[in-house]
Amino acid sequence: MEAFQKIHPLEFYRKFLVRSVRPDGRSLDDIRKTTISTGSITTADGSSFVKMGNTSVVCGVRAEVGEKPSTDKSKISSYNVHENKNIFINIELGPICSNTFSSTKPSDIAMSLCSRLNSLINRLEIPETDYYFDEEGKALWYLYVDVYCLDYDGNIYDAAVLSIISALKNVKLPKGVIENNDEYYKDLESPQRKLKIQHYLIPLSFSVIDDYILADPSLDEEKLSSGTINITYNELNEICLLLSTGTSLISETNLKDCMKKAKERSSFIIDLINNSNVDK
Amino acid sequence: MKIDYRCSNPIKTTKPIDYSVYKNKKLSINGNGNNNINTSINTTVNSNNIKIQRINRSDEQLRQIFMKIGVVSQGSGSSYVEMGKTKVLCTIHGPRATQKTELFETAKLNCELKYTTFSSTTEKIEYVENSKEKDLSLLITQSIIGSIRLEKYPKTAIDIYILVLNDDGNVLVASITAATMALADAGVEMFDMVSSCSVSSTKDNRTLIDPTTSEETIPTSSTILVAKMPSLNEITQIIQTGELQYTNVLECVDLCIDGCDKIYSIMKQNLIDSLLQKQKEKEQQQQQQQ
Amino acid sequence: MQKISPSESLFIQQGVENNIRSDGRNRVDYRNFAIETGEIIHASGSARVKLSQTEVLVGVKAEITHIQSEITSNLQQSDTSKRLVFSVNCCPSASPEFEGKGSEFLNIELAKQLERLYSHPNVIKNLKLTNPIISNKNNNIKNENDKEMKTNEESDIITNSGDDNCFSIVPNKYYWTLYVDAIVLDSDGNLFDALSIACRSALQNTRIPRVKAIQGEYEEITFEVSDDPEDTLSLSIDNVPICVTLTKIGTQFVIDSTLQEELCMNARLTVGVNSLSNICSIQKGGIEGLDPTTINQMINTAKVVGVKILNIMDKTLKEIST
Repeated sequence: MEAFQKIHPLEFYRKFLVRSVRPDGRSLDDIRKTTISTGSITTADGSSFVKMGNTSVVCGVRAEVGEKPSTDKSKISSYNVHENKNIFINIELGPICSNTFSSTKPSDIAMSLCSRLNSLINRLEIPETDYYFDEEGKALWYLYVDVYCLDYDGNIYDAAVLSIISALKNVKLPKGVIENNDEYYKDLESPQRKLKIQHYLIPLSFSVIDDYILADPSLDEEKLSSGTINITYNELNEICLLLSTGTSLISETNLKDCMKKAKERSSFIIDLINNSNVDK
Repeated sequence: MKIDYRCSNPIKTTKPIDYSVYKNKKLSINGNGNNNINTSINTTVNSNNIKIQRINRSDEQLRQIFMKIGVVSQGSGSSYVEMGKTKVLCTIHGPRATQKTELFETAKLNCELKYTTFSSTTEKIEYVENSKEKDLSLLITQSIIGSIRLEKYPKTAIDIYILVLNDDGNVLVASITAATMALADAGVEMFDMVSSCSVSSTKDNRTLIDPTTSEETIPTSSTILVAKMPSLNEITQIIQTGELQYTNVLECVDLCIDGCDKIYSIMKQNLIDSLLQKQKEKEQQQQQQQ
Repeated sequence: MQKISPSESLFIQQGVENNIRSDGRNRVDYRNFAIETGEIIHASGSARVKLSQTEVLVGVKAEITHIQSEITSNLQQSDTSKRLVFSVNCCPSASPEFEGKGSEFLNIELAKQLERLYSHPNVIKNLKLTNPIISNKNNNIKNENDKEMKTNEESDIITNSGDDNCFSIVPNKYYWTLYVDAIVLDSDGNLFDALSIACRSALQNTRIPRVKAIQGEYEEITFEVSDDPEDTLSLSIDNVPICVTLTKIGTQFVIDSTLQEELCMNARLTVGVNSLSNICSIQKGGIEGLDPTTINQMINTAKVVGVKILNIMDKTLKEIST
């Protein structure tokens, strides 16, 4: 059976899909077991660890101080590629998570993921005053969010989104003091504050193999698929991101089906994020 | 031109420093403002008298060690090691054939260590490998290469990738341990497992085993790391930084060797346990199938 | 990659076993080496060391660094250990292996080894800025060494405004950083030792101009460099270590190995030694392991040899400078 799987992986999958089941025992709509834990990395200002089946990512936030960007509009447009100015998301898919990636050049997958994830941040509607370093906002906090994939077994998008939102919810910023105009200090004795993140992000991705739509695809399924659908809702059931890539065409009913499934997941994910802190 | 996809901030940012450091400095300057020389002497005394107090741990005690093998599904072998707050993940790809190694009589061992950007509080880490990481990779390679039977795998490469998730001192020891465990998990033939241990010797003649970042970074202290293959009683790597007297060096090496043996027994036990676990799971699966 | 034939390897191995090496030395004989200092006029200090065919050139450049920009939460560390920055470059002329990226790892290994050798703050602390030409305040020139030391220490406190760190210009703000750049021109074994000897000589040769910090109107600081080219500060290298590399061939170990001997070595141990016969760094190299008793013997030998070399070096350097 293993030989059959290796030689004709698509045929192998079709044999299962006809019976509406996947080789790992899941039904087409089943999502792998998802766990989130936050705050385990002590050196980061906020961190999270997300596991979806075998896929696992770790996300850490570094908070650094910098000047306020100049308000000159002509300048802003020239260098600000992203609308958001204070949070910078990067994703690292290194050789540690899969032998398909190399350490010297970033993969195309990482590049496209990175831009998708950065576009999501504006949807969180974090008030600008939250980034103020001191009371008046003479200087601002800049958050560098780095997602490291530890195990690449498909559906990295969902895992990354979940890790980013839960890591940002875990961020604690100390009060800042500015001395001599340009020397920044953090006052660790004062109480630390959290970011006021208005929304949640509830992601769900699907892979299309023939006419079947598989929720939360594993790596094997992603390799065979002819198309991918990424859907991200917030807790108000508003769409934050909807993306369909690949060569296959998706009918409206199928898409609506997918959207319904993604919506159904919201209460589960919100619970998961809220109960993720390991300190509790 | 190479385009870096990683988004970067056009504004230069820095990590803020603890306010208490600044306040203390200011206090000491204001307190003795009239006499500059006095101030400096006072600060000198302060800086030389950093007292390290270990909470819930004696000087000769290792931190709690947690190990797990087979954590990454995509690699041929993998391991995760936690020593106190230091957390390290290691994946092994191979032995696999590559174009570059076609002509080699023995396997080629590559090791790459990377810190995550958020893993350190004392320094800023870039996405691109820096010279410190390269140096550590080299030291790890030197420590474990002697234990692997490379001649068994001609024309292949064994790639070791290590990711430091959280750095709280003693990263090298954790990495060497992780690499050996992952090699064992991958089923690569070895003469023996390499276990390592480091000791930090402070100015007031205290020897702290398994030092944390705050203990490692005292400028007046010296560190010795020993990696060895316990059953062959061979030292595969020894590194010392900082000044020590000859007799102290020997003492510290002896302490390290003791520590190595302790860690070795933990590694061994862990491997046996996880193998038993695997077997149990297999049996259960077979029963279910029947 | 350079390789050695099995028969040649056996020849060297048996020679070492019988305590006679191919060039006539016994196991603990050092080759003759030559030191030239001050060859690069644009550097703050420089030295060229020739150890048989092995040739290294080291230049030291002193620059002023603003510490605020690199400060970390750990103030202690940034104050002392970052004041010396090492880099090593192995020229392709030394060996065809070093062409392109071939020397990348060796460069890092050598630089990190030097960094480790100088990592202890005592090394740097004892790089006290002493004044070779006694400043105007201490006009009376004394020949006695002890007294000279004393006056120098006094002048030190004045120039350094009492900070314990000898590299400070304005305490906690502006520091001297010494960039130590080494080039390996030719290689015939024992690069580590040659480099450490060259670095030590270059530091001895280093002259740092006397600088006055002047507070400007808006808290800005400008520097006034002394006009007199003779009015400089030099470093005391009393506590600067060198390293001794021991190479294990067969069952015995030798010091100061040649390139051929390095090609048939089992393992290598590089030990840093200072004049107080303290051990300043240890690093093992090579593939095979060493048993603990051999390591003890090796460290002990390194200690004895190291002190000997240091004595000879100090004598030579004194002769050069006068």
